[in-house]
Amino acid sequence: MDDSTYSMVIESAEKLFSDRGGKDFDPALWAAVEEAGFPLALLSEDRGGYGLSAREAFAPVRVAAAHGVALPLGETLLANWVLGAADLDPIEGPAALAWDGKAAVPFGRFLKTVVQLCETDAGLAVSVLHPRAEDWQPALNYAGEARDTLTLAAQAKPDAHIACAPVVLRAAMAMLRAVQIAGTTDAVAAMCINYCNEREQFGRPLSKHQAIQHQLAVLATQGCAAAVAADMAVAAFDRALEQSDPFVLSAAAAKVRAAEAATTVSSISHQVHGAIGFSEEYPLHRLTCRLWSWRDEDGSEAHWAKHLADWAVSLQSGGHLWPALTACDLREAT
Amino acid sequence: MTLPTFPLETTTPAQIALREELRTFLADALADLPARERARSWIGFDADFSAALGQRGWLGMTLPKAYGGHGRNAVDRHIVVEELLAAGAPVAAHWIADRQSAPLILRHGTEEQRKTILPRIAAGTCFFGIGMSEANCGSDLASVQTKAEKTADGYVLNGTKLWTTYGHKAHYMVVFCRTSKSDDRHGGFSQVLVDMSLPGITVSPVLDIAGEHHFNEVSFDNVALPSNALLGKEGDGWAQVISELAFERSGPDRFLSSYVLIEELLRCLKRVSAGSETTDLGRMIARLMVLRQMSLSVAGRLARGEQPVLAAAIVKDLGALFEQDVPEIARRVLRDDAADPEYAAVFQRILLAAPSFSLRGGAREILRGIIARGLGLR
Repeated sequence: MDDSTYSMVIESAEKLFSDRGGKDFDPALWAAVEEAGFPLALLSEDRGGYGLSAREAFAPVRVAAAHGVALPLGETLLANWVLGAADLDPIEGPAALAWDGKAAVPFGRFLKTVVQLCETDAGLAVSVLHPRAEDWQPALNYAGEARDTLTLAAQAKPDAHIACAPVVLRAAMAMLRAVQIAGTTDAVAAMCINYCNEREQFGRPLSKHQAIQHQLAVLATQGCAAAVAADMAVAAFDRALEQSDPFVLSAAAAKVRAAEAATTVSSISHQVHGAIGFSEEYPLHRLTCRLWSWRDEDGSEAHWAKHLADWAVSLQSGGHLWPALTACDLREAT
Repeated sequence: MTLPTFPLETTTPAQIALREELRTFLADALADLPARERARSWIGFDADFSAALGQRGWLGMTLPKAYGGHGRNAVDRHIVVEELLAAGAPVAAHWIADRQSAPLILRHGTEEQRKTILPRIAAGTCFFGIGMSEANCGSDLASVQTKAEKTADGYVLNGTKLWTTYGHKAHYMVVFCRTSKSDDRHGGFSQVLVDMSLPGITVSPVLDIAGEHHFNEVSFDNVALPSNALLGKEGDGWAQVISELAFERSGPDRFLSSYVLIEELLRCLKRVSAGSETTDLGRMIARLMVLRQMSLSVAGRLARGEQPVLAAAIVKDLGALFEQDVPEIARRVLRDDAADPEYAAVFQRILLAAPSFSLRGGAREILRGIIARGLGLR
């Protein structure tokens, strides 16, 4: 695997997002993100994008999550990807996908564009909307990020239709949350390790106590599982339209597994930090509150676990799960 | 990034074909083996089956051709092992030899040891026992008491090893023992290659909690070893045994020990409507999908010549938790009236085997210590 583009993207995202964490949407930071071209990364060059692989394109999303940055970067990447699939032009400014109906839209009030999706008999209808401030019913997630409800009805005549099962796009959003969880658990691990190396109790650093070491070991194993879960879904996203089954199953598993990891990681991180981690001044809650939000958003563990369970029970091929599992493995491009 | 990374592996068309070949062979070879027998996983012993695998080139896969092996990489071997375990094939006869003794001999053995033993391992006709644990020495391997003392023409071996899986069927044991005194806690150890047909060796059964015999106690009473029984360098035993343990961790055997129960559970669920506990079932599948990719990633790193000790410990810790959770999840998912006798027999076998999953090959607490060290906490 050629890692040069991936490393370059990570490096420029690190430069951009270091020390820019916060609760609120940051317009200046968004301008810098657009300058870097991140929101167009998935689109081919003839559509005005950069033709990056999903692994490369979602790398900045992971870095942004690790730094606790409040931006709809992954949402905009996916909105542009849908526009590309619908043969529509990409948009400038922050954007997100929204399902017709009363669903919460990430960063709604800050968006310039909403790519609205509506299931119709003719396929999945795509409408490009530019809501005004009064079109939003404001709400926040546990981390204080805007999750607003759009009060605009779907357009009578959509801008396009795409040949894509709705579950593929729901899975893409679930994958995005898994990617964010993966970035965040890594940052939580770093925060815990640093804190436990510095903080002394009973005459030695917390990190020298075996009980703490074992807690942090568990945290690390869960963080690694979240990362692999996200990687697995992102790798399958490259062929989400052509081979939707492996992608949807990988994304479902990724969301379930990352959410499970988020639960353990946030719990252990607060335990080893003691009271200080529970205070507003200490930055741990910026990460853990997001973990608690993202594990529920775009389909909780219960939602995607049911998808996996129904699939497993309905399998016909010789009645066995095993060949169906290996059929999801990432394959060499032919 | 703070945490260790697990780069994903991509499957080649040849590897997909390899899986298909295995499935065709196994469908035929295991046609008459009931699920309750498949549930033994890598404790199921069948010497004829091992020889048949050897004939088809599926043992000693990563060994060089010069030693009877097949010059394949660690990922190809991983695929074969996954398919064998998922099918519940009886792999115990060749298991230890193929997994850890062969790579140990390849790395540290003399040319004579490689030439005489490795081709037989690849043929599936030469079986090994692990000579590490003793009655007073489990996780604390450095407290080993077994001794090999130098004589004019070799060594004399005294001591008793315990928990030796299939020691009663093994042709050789790699015995970790003391060869000299040392101030360094990890110094003065060596590994010796013991021919189990030598006089002075007594193998006595130790039954497990299900009343089954796979463990043994193996006593060495003044066993005269030739000088060419030394494996590797005298005094280097500690480093060798640690690298041997790395082969013992992270493979598919660290998360698939309960796999036959998953297929049995699904078989029963298809006959009745699943209960309301589909969340548990789906979560179990999600964990399995991710574990497979983690373990495959470690195989990829081994294939590139790396020594991913930390990543292997992480996979083994997560894998053992998974294997042990499978029977508990099955209890929650399947209604009482949906089980049949075959399911019940599989369930019991796995329930009673489960406590060993987080003990063998490195106890959970040891692994977490290794992980903590990898994170820079020790």
